Amino acid sequence: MSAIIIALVVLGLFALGYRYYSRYLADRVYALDPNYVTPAHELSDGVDYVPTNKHVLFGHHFTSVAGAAPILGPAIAVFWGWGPALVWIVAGTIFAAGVHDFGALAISVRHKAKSIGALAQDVISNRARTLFLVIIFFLLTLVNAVFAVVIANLLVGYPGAVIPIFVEIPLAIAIGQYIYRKRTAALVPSLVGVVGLYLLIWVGHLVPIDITPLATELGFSRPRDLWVIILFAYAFIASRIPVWVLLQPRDYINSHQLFIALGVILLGVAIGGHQIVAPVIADVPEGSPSMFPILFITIACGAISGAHALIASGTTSKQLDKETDSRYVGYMGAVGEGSLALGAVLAVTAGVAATQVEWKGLYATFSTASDGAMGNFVNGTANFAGNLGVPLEIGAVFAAVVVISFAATTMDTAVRLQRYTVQEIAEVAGWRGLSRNLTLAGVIAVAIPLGMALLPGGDEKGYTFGVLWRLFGTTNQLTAGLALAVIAVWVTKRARNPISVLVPLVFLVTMTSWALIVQFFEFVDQGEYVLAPLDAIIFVLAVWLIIEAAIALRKALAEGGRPAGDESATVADRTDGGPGAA
Amino acid sequence: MTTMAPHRVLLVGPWRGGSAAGGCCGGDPAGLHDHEPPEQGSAGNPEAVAAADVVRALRRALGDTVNVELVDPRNTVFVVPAVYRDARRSGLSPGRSIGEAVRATTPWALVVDGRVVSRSAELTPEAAVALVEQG
Repeated sequence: MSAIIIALVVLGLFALGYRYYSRYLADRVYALDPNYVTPAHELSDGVDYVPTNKHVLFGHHFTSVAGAAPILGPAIAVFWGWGPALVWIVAGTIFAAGVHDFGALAISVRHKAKSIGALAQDVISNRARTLFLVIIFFLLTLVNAVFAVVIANLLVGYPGAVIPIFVEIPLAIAIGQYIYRKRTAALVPSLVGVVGLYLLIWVGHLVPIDITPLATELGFSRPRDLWVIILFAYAFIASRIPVWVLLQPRDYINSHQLFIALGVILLGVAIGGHQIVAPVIADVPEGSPSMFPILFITIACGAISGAHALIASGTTSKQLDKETDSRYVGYMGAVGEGSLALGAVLAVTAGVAATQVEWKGLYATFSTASDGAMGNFVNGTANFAGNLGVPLEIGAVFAAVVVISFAATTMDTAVRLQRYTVQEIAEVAGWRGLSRNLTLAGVIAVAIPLGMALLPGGDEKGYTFGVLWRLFGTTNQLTAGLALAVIAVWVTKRARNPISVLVPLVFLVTMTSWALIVQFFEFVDQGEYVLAPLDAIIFVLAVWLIIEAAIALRKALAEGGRPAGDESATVADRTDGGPGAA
Repeated sequence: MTTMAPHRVLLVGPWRGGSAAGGCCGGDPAGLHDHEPPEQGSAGNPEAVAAADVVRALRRALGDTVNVELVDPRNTVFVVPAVYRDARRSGLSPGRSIGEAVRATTPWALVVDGRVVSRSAELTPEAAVALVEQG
């Protein structure tokens, strides 16, 4: 099967989803009003609340949501074949992520641009706010743990990437300082930074840094564990540095890399005429995780990601010029993420192997699929880059650098956010000492995921990562579930048909709960006495979410809702969410 | 409501007023940043407030006749093509338009119909209005 044809079909389906389904959502479900006074206008302060052109806002929103996560999940999930992975990516993007991202943005706009956590409190219950915080705590913990393992594995597997990745840190700081102090155009130095980074790839290729002897000397059984410790030490320090010093210039470099990588994949596929060699549906070995439900938590970002609701109801909703723009910004943000996932599927099914036999060797078991996922993406992308004249080994280090850059930036931000979450939870719990102690909150934010990333992880190489990734997927889907529950209740209260929201909500909660139950028994059987309780806690959160959503929906149905037209009575009514709003 | 107007003014925000992204699962959610110490945060700092004053003054002075946009300095994916397009529409050559698009990525760049008219971080609201009206 030709990879370029598959890519065009998927992109065509995304276009149809945007053209027709998002129109239905805009008209019938969210009932967008072009004359609605958005918070960007009503609360305009020019700093946080700024009416912004939809194309400007899309640029900001997309670069905020795009990262390494939509690459990783699909790179593992093609274990069950490219068909199921792509079906979930396409259906998830059109019918779940689009509804979720668009809905979170539209509803936040109707409630003074409140965050999804605050909306959960307003629309569902006070308890839902606590539930939100706890889910976010686990989500960020698992994000940090899995990304640390991903980066560490890549640094071990591609020692040529060590120099570029570590030099990128002072390089980014220097570029940021140069732009800030010299008041110069940011594009040129940041592009010079990207070129410098790619020159360092060549240096790294000539001088690979293998940490194995040092790790052995220090008594580590796995060299990656030493990298994990170094990465968390770095993330702890980085999270204390002002955003504009390191994170922002690095982000700037990353946003160039995002488009370079996408360009390399799409051009490489088009020029190389690659065929997808993976089977449509793979014949997986006995004892492998079942496609239902594990596929649906393995691909979270790229099909639906709860993290998007946080971002949509964050900066984005404060800057929406017209309510009708939420369709373009929110739905297209989901489509952009789905397109990244498509790129990942192409790299690991068409780029990484020449024959199906060779491919099956890479995806022989779920453990090898999990362990090798990033490496497969890197090698697949390197092959695409090869079509553009880039030597294979250099192309591999290039792809590794791109992925590590994204993952490391996410880790930086996630450690920072986790620190705030710890403080917020401490505030809710009345632990004032912790809520005001940045260092202690930072230590907690780092220590727990560090411990998880260092878990021994059974006998199989990819086990820990595979398991942590699945747990990350469940918490991400739970975050999405909570946001969908808020949206469903909100829509129901307005006497509109909530089916488009309820279907993905029920599907996600079912798959997540099912996966948690399956995994719990696996962990108990395998004597995983850290992961089993963790899984059980996340399951309790899922049950809690189901109960909260059911109570709120029942109440909304009992109240009977109000016709959508009543909402546009006055400006004051609208900014409070309209009459009958929560 | 910002309406489609024949002219466009862009103010690229200050470097210290940008926001962190971080990608899916890390990027820029609201509601948690309340714990960020003011000196560490990217929003709400004096430079961001000064840029806000400029945008407010421009919008007040120019009304609906001109689209005034404040753009995050990270948002080159919008700035570069938009400024290039505006510059070409204003009659600049392709080479000059590329030059303007690159210069427009400077924090505090004030761009009127594709022409960078100021890159000063000391830009006052009054000066900005005067520059745009001249442009």
